[in-house]
Amino acid sequence: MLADARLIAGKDLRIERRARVATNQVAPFALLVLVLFAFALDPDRGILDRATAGLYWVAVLLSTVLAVQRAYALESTDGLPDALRLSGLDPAAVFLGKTAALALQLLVLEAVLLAGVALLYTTELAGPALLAATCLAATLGLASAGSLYGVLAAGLRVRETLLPLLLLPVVAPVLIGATRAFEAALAGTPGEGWPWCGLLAIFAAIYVAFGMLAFGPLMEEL
Amino acid sequence: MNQTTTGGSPAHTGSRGSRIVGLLAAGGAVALLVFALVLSPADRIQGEAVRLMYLHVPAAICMYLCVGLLGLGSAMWLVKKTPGWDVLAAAAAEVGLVFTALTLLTGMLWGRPTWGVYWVWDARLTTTAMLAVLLAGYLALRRVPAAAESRSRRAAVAGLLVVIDLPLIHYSVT
Repeated sequence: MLADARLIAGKDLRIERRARVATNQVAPFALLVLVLFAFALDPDRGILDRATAGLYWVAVLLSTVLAVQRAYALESTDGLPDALRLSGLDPAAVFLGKTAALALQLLVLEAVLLAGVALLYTTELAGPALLAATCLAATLGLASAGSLYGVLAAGLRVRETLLPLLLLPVVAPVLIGATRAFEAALAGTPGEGWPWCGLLAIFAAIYVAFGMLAFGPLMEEL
Repeated sequence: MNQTTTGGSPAHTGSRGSRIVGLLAAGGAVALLVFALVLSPADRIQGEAVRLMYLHVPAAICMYLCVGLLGLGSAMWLVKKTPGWDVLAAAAAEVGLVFTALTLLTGMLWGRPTWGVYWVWDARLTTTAMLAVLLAGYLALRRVPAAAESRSRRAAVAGLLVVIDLPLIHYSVT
């Protein structure tokens, strides 16, 4: 199963490397969101500094919606859904592969955004261990929930408008947990952030497990 | 609601049992209103605002019941694949959204005289608001035109996810 998952993840990442949608469109969009927050929140009054953690994760969430849409737009053309169903790959492995490819892209995006907040919001990146662990756990949760809702909305004509409505409330716990953990890390009190990191890990575990079970029936709808 | 009659399922959910339950519910609602609005005295501290609680609490109980039925219907559809379970899940989500809205509305009206504000970012309020959004999303997914079985399959997974996500949201806002 892991070999199948690696196959799917490799395929998605190879397509991304050649098409460069993530690097040329999604990453610039995420940075743009950071800049827009700075315009809206008047950088001189110190609001940005206090709100950095929340703004960072809102930017990640919005970019996740784009990345998920992109990940399933790949599968929807040229009879690819049929090819995927006929390939004989284990649906759970397809889910893991899509999730892994998505998670890897999101992790790169988060690194770019971290550099973005460090430069644009002059945030000092304290507590690197907690920051890294939070990014890992949150990303796994976002990628697995994203893969699941992505395939749920994939075959529908209204998927562009439906996906954010379905996905964003579901990942609200990730936004809350990751923001609290980041706040604790940036404030230099990482001890308060680790329980939130645990919540993120539980979220990720639940969605990975549920996704592996539910992806089989949903692949019929791709 | 309209429903398909594939797979030998009944064309409607009406039965003698459901009519009796319906009549009992209607009678109970009338009795509740008489007791809540006429027969009971105003609260010593909350005044007349306490009467909202007689609507608010049952609405919240019905809301949780509907979420439970949504989960049950969705899970059972995935096991049995019979249209009846899908109809149950859909009806539970629709009724559940009404009761969620009613819970929020009566809670806000009660909060204004009691707490001084319509809304506080308290765990229960936030979770309830998120539940309303989740149910709206579920119903939006159901409204997308698709073949009956295809829609049922998507809806069943989405319905289960609503139920799974609720404790996570509650825990994260506490």
